[in-house]
Amino acid sequence: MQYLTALLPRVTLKQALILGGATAPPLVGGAGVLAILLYLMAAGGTATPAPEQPIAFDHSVHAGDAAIPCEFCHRGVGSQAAATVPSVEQCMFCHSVVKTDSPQIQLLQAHWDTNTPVNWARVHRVPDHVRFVHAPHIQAGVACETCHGDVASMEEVKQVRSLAMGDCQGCHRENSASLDCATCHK
Amino acid sequence: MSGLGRRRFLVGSAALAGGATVVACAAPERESQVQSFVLQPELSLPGQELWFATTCAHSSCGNSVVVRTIDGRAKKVEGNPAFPTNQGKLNVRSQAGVQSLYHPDRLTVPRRRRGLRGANEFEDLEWPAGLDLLTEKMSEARSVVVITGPISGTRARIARDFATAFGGEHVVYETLESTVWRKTVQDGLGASRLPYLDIANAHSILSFGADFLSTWLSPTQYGVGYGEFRQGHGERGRLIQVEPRMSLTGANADSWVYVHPGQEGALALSIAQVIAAEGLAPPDNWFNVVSEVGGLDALNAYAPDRVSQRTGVPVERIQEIAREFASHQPGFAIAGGPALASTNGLDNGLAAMLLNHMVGSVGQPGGLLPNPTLRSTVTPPTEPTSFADLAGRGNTWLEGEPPDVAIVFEADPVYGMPEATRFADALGKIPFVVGIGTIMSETLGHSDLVLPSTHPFEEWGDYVPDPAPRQHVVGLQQPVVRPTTSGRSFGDILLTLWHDLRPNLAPPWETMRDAVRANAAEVFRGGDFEDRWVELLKNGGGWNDDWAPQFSAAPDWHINLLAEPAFSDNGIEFPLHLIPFEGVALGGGDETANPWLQATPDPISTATWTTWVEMNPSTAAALNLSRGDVVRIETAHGEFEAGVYISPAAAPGVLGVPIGQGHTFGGRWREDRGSNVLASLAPLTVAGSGGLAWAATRARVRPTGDYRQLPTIEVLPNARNDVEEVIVQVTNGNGDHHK
Repeated sequence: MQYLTALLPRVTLKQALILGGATAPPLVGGAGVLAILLYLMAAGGTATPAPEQPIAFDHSVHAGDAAIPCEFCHRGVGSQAAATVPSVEQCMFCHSVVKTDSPQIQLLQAHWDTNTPVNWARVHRVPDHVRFVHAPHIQAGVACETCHGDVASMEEVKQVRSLAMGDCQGCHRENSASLDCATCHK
Repeated sequence: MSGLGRRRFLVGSAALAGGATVVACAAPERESQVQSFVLQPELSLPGQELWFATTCAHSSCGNSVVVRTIDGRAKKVEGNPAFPTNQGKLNVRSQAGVQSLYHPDRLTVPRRRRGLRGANEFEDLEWPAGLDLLTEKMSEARSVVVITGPISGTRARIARDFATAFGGEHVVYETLESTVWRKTVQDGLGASRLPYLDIANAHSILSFGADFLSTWLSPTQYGVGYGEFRQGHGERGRLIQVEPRMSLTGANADSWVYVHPGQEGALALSIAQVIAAEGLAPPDNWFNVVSEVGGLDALNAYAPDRVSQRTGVPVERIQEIAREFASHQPGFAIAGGPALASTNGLDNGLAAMLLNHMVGSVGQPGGLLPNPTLRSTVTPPTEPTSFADLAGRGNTWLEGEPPDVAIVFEADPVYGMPEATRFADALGKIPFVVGIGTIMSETLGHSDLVLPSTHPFEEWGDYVPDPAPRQHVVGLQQPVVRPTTSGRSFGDILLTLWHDLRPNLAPPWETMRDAVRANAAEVFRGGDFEDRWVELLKNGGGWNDDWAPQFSAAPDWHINLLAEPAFSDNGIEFPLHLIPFEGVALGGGDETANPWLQATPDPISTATWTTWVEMNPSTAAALNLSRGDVVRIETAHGEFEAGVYISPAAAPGVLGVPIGQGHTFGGRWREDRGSNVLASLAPLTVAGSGGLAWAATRARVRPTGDYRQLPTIEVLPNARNDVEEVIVQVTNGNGDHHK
C-alpha cells in the first residue's frame, strides 16, 4: 500500500472533491468511486502545507532562537498519548511582560482577558483507527525531529513526513519495534 | 422525466454516492483544530479521565457520587461505593447531574428586576453591582428571612446563624414535607433522629403508603436494602403495600391493598387487633404497649368486621395481612405518602408504629433501629419547617408585618404552596427579595434580585444524610470542575455579606471551603488533619460509629385519638379524591428543567413530558372519557388540565396526578408544560404536626373536548396479542385449517 500511495499525487481534500466531481459524471460511476478511493489512500501519505493559524506563532523564535525545549510547552509528550498544546496561561507566563506591544501577542492577550481558548489549526493528525501514543516514542529516545522535522527552523509548522502506515512501519522495522497490527490498531 | 434515462440515472447515483463517501470520510471540522485551555485544569491530562468524589446535593437525594471528568469537564456520574448510604448505587436524578451542570438555560450573571414581580423582566448586572445592591438593602434591613430547600451541614449552619445575626430566621421549605414522619418517629419511638430501616434483614415490610423504592426519604439507601430483602437471605422478604394510589413500591409488592384515603390508621389498628386476638405475636411483646395506648377494649373497637367498610378492605383480607405480617418476623411497618398526608396523618403514622411495638421490631435487627444522635451542632441535619408554620408566616406578612429582606435559595414555595395560601402575594409584601439559584424558578421569578449560584459539582459543601445509616455520616462536596458561569455558592454569598455588614458577629471563615474544612476538622478529630482532610475528600466524606440512644418502650399516643380524616368540601359536588404523587425523576418539581428527567418514563404509566391523571376504567366510563382526553380537574381551590390515563391499577374514585409540571419559569424544557397540581390543593393541615395534608383534597372532572395523545412508551392497550388467535393458518385443500 505504501508504494502505491507514494506514487500518487499529493492533493488536498478540496482538490480531491473537485477532481472527484469532475471525473464522476463523464465516466461511469465506478471510476468516480475509484478516484475517491485512490484519494483516500493518498490522503494519509501527503505532506500538507502549513495551515493558517489564529495566532502567527513562530517556532523558529521559540524553539530556535530561544532554544526552549519542545517539552517545555508540549508537556504531555513524555507521559501520555497527546503531546498537548500549552494553555493560554502558560503562554502568558512570559508574554504578560515579553513583547506585549506585538499585535500577535495582543491577540493572545485578548484570549486571556476574555477567558476564551485558542483554536489552533491541527498540523499532524493520524486517522481515527490509529492509536498513536507519544510517550513510548519519547521514552525510546526518538527525537521530536525524527517525525516532525526541523521545527526549530520553521516559522510556520507543516507536516514533513507522510506519517502513513508504511512510514511508521519503515521506522519500526529499522528500530526493531513491534510490527504487530494491534500495537497501533486497537 | 423523459430526459433521465436509466444510464444517466446510474451515473448520477454513483457520482452522488462517491461525493457522499468523501464527505463522510473527511475529518470533521472540529478535529482539524486543537483547543488550548485558557487555564490548565489541575491534574488534568488531555484525554485522560479523572474521578472526584463529591456529594450530589442538587437533587435533595444527597447521594455520594464519583464524577468522571475528562479535560476539565464532567462526563459521567456514578455512585460512590465507599459511602455508607448509597453504597455505590445511584438514582436517576443524580445521574442527570451532568445535564443540569451544562444546562443551556443556567443563570450566568446577576439580574435585577425591571418590571412587575413575576413579569419576568430583568436586566443583567455585573457581580459587584449585584452585591452592592444586596449590601445596601441588607444594611438597611431590620429583619431578614432566609428561605432554603432541605439543606444540611455547614450550609444549613451558615444559613441559620446568618439569619440570627441579621435579626431573622431560617425557614426550610420541603415541597412534600417529611415533618409528619419526623413527628411520628418522635411520638412513636421517642427519637429525635429518623430511624434506620433494617430492610436488608427484614422478612416482611408492611408499608402504609410509603413509596420507599421511588421517592420516600432515602430511596437509594432503601433500594440497596431491598435487594438484600428480596434475594439476600434464605427467605424472600414479603412486601405488603397499603395505599389509595398504586405507587412504584406498590407495583413491586407481593400484595397491594387498596385503602380509602385517610383510613390507613384504622386499618393498622385492625391488623393490630387481629394480632392480639389471634395471638400472632407473643403477648409479652404487646400487652404492656397496648395497655399504655388505650388497652384491648380500645383496640377491639377496630376489629376487622367493624372497620372493613370504613377502610374498604374486606375482613378476610385484613386477617390475611395480619397473619402474613406477624408470621414473617423480623419485619416492620412504616407510613408515608398519602397515609401521612391526610388530616389525621400523624395518627395514621402512630397506629402503624404501634404494629412495630407489637411484633417486637423496635430496636431489633430486621426492624427499626436507632440512629446516632449528633455529637454537636457543627453540621446539623435538615430541620424542615412545617407547612402550617410557613403558611402562618405568609399570613403575618400579608397582614403587614413582613421582614425587610428575604433571601431564597433552592426553594420554590411560590410553585409548591397551594394558591389558597396566597404565598406569592405574601412574598410580594417583602420589600426586597433576593433569589439564589442555578436556574430560574417561580420564586426567583418573583424576586427583585437574582444571583446565579454555582452548581453542586462546582462548589464546596457538605451534607448530613437523614435518615443516617446507623453511623454518624457527613458527605463532603468539592468542586469537580471549574465553574462554567460567574455563579457563586450560596454559602460564599452569605459569608461575604456577613463579613461586610456584621464583622463582629461573623464566623472566622471567609469562604465556604474554609468553613467546610473547619467543620470537618471539628467533627472528625484525631491525627494529622492535613492527611485526614485528603482522605475525607477522596472518600467523599467521613463516618464513624457513635452512641445510639434507645427507643422509648411505647408510643406517646392513645388509640382513641385516631380521628376520621377530614377532606376539603363535600363528596357530592367534588366526588373524587385527588392524590398527587412525586415521580421518580421529577420529584417535587425542582428537577423539571432537566430534559433527561423529563424524558424518564414514569414507572407506572410510562408517561413523559406532561401531566396526566390516572383514572380507573369505571371512573372514566362514568365520565365517558378515553385515554388521551384532556380534562379539567376542579377543586374548590383551583383547577388545572391533564390528559386521561386509564389504568386498572388506579382505584375507582381516586385521581392520581404527578407533581412537577406547570412552570412559567425555568428554561426551555420546563416552561409552559403540563399543570401544577399543588396549586389547586386545599390548605388543610395534618393535626398535631402542621404538615400539609396534600392527600385531603376532593375534586371533580370536566371534559374539555380536547384530545392529546399521551407521550408514553408502553404498548398501547389491545395492541398485544392477548387472546388466542390463529397465528399461522394453512389450508390442506379440504378446507380444514391447521394451526
